[in-house]
Amino acid sequence: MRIYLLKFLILFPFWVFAQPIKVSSFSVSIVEKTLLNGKATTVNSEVLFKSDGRLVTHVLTPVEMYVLNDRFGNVTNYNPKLNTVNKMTDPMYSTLNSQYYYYVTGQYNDMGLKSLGFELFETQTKDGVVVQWFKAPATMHQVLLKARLALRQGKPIYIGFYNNQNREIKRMYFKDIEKISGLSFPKTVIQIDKTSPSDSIITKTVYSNFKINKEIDQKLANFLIPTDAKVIQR
Amino acid sequence: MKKRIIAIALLALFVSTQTIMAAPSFFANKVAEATSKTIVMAEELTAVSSFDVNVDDIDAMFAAADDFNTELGVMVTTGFGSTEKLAADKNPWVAFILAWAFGTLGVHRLYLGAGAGVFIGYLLTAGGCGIIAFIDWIVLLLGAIDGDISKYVGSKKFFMW
Repeated sequence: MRIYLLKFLILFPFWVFAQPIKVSSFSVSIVEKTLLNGKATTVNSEVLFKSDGRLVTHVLTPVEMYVLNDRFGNVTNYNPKLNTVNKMTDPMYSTLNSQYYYYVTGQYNDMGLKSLGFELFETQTKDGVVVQWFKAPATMHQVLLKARLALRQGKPIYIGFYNNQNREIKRMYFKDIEKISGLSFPKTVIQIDKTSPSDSIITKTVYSNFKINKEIDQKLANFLIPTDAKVIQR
Repeated sequence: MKKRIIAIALLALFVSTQTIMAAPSFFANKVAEATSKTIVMAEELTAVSSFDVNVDDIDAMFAAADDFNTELGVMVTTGFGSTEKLAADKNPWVAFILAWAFGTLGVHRLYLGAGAGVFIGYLLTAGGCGIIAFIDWIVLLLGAIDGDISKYVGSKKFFMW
């Protein structure tokens, strides 16, 4: 009996520390660069997401603004320079549809394809990579026919979209996948949109400064829109 | 600013028309030469394998590009300051160019009078994994060719088509 108790006392702390910490909130810095026709744009932002669905986005450049969303689809946009605010509600803007929700709940394995109406019709495996083919919903058939998703160790590494002539018109690569407190998160996303057989729009998104729970950006977590902000109706 | 957008629109008109008609001309070749800095087969330049890409190549292309942030800032600020100003002039080619350049940000929806909410929706979802913005781009191109995008103007729906 003593030996079991001793084993328990020795192993219990290891078991406790081996458990992934439950993520109730996280904040991350995002830099998105887009390249088109020799011109590049950069959008810098900071995002804070809480498991109750509260999402705060602080866009720093090219123009500063704050966006507050919740799980019910309420959207509040605040422009600090003009001290204006506008609000709208649409279930489509529920944070439950956002990529952050999928990341936090570990449900991003199909990259939201099923929620967009895509249907899985074929699965292949090659060199440790699982390749899944999805049929696009009928409403997209004038433009899109299918999508190809590649997963390594259960995590998406690539997604491609095909037009109705079976040509790949869009591809995304998910790079530098890191596991942070049990959450898998691609730190770099490269997106290539083919605008013609010989031209593309290239977008590179880099996620950094990832913080969870008590480490999150408190200024962003506690952000409130000034009460004297002028309400603009759209 | 307006002249610049019109100039870009005209350039896109020529490039797109040539592509769609599948009849490359001397002028199209000259346009391609002039903008060859980024008119590249991106996948040939960067692909490491079917499912991987060379990020160093991508970074080199960004390093060689000109900055367009100031113009984008003005565009977005104007949109938030006065949506009516942008929505009043609904040139199909301007909408098409905005969808082309800044589709994932939803700037084209702001231009079409969708309001800030749709714009923000795009920002959050990256336009439905980016594919929604790309479909927008294609339907606006078809609308621009027909000269009519009226059915998309003022649409508050997430899926404007």
